[in-house]
Amino acid sequence: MKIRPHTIFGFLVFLFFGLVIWGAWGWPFKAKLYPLVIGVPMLAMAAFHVLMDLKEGRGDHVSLPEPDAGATPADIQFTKDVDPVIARRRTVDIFAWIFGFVLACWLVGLSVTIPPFVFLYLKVKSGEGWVLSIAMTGVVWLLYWGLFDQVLRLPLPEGKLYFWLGL
Amino acid sequence: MIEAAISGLFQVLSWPAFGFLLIGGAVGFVVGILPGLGGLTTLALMLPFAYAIQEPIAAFCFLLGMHAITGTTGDITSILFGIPGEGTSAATIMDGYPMTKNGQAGRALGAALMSSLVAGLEGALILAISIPIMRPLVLFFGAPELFMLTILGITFLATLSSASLSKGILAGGIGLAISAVGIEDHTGTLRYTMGSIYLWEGLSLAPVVVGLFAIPEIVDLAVRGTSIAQSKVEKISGVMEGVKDTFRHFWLTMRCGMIGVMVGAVPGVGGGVSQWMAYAHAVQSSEDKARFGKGAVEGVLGPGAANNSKEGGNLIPTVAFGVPGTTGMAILLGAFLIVGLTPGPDMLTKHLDVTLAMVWILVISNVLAAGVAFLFLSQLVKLTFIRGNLLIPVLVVFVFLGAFAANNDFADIVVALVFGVFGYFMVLFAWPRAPFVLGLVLGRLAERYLGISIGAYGVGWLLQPTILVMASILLGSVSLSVYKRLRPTGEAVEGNVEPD
Repeated sequence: MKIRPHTIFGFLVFLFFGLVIWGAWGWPFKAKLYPLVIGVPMLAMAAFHVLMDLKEGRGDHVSLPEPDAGATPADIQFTKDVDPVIARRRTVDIFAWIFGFVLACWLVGLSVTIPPFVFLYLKVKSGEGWVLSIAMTGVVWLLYWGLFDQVLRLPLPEGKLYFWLGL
Repeated sequence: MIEAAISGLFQVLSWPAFGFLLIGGAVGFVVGILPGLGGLTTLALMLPFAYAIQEPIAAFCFLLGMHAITGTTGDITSILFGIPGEGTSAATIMDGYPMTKNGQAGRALGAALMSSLVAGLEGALILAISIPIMRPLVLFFGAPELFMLTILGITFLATLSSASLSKGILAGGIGLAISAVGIEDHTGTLRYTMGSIYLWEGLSLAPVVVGLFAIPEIVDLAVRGTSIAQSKVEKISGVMEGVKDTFRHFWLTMRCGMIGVMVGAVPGVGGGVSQWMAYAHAVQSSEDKARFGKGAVEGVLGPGAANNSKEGGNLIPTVAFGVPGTTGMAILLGAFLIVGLTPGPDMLTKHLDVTLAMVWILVISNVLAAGVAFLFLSQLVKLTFIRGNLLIPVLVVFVFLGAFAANNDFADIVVALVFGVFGYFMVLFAWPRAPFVLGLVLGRLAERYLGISIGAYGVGWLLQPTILVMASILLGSVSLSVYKRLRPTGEAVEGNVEPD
């Protein structure tokens, strides 16, 4: 039997609803009513969905057509024009940059992270010229400073690193 | 009602509301033109600003003005490059892009923009007219009916927004379940808070929606690794000819506008469907059907008209019942809650001026969008050549700043990241995100209505005639959807079709 990635995703959804029910079990009636009203039928549906997926993966049944094939998709679809290996590498790359950005924000704070992040992405990742990279970094910094600091007056948090170092 | 309409107009034109309309309009304008950046993503990105604006009409000026304009300008890229500027602008490509290839780009743009304007005004007018009709109907509804409506809305959206019925319903269920996070109002029970004080108030909509919609688009932009538009466009001329075409085929424009309103008012059907239905009507009502697909101006007028008028239609169930017709409206529904408004009967009585202000916002933003587009058409096209690599770091920064602005808590950034990853996998595995957002938005309301229904009627509310009718509609729509999916075609019976 071939277990495909979307079957694993479906199974995680099944587990999620299992946890919803398990978490609600010991609560007072009024508190658990809604989670159970949602959780129980959804758990059954998720189980059905996973079973159907597994059955399809085994390939021992008559497959059904995609009913809406050719219809307007109601959500975006990822580009299919790029070689899958390159697409996978670029996906990992961009997620690494995004996670790195969030980690840096947590460690040293948003204000300190934003300029080097924009500059490094443009200069190192994208290979843009010095002038464009510095100019774009400046524009983003100005937008951030003007809108979020001066206009909205967001109380941006200090990084955890300063706390640990006692600064 | 007239007093409320006048009050609504003055509130829209007052400062700072009008300023927010201009800013939102400018953002929507640019976003609509850029194919790499969706109107939904931007709406999600800008939602946290509703916290900062707080005043309802000013917040709607910003968000609704932006949303209405993305539809109008989305047609520009569809026509010039054959790439839909918005997911809902795809049908305009059918004849708009061939017109460009035939050297009639200006005429196609003129026709699309003018038909958008005319039908956008028609949609706003119908929304205004429908309010007195909707009011007695909405006031007749009690908590049991409103609970059933929320379930109906999610089910409609789930059945229509995905090729897989179970994926749609499960996505809605995940949203409903996540809405249960936080303190339960009656008993004070902490539900699914995992020991975190941040989760006591439940998950804020803004960071969830920002992450869910923006991060998958950023990833896709990075994977494509190109500039947004990849083909050059010739000089634009003949715009006035397209404007005249709108009035030469005035009744076609009005009929397609009406299709947009009617389809838009059905929860879950969405803008893309209304455009394709309008296109089909334009083809069907033409004497020379062979011209379509090769550059027939009617093939631009129809979808152009429906694309904008649907917003008026979308607002009818959103405002009156709290059941949004599209993902955009589901996000906008979040703005209602952020600024302290509850969609439903109050919007047609106590807050009627806010509802009518929305009509004015649609009217004014449509007029502004068409006017500015006509003035700066040639220059605007150059925006589509911005390289994706330049946009990505800017988007990443503003996604997380936007998420942080919701509660000024670093946890919002983590929430945006978590739901960004979740949104990525949803898109990757073709799970629709719209029912999820709708479930999250309507979850608390659904729980409240369920609690009131059981408190007032016990389980007897399930046997009320209106509930039985609504339950029949729900079962009917699910059964129909299941039947359509299970009905085997000749190809399938042979067993050679690879499932998704």
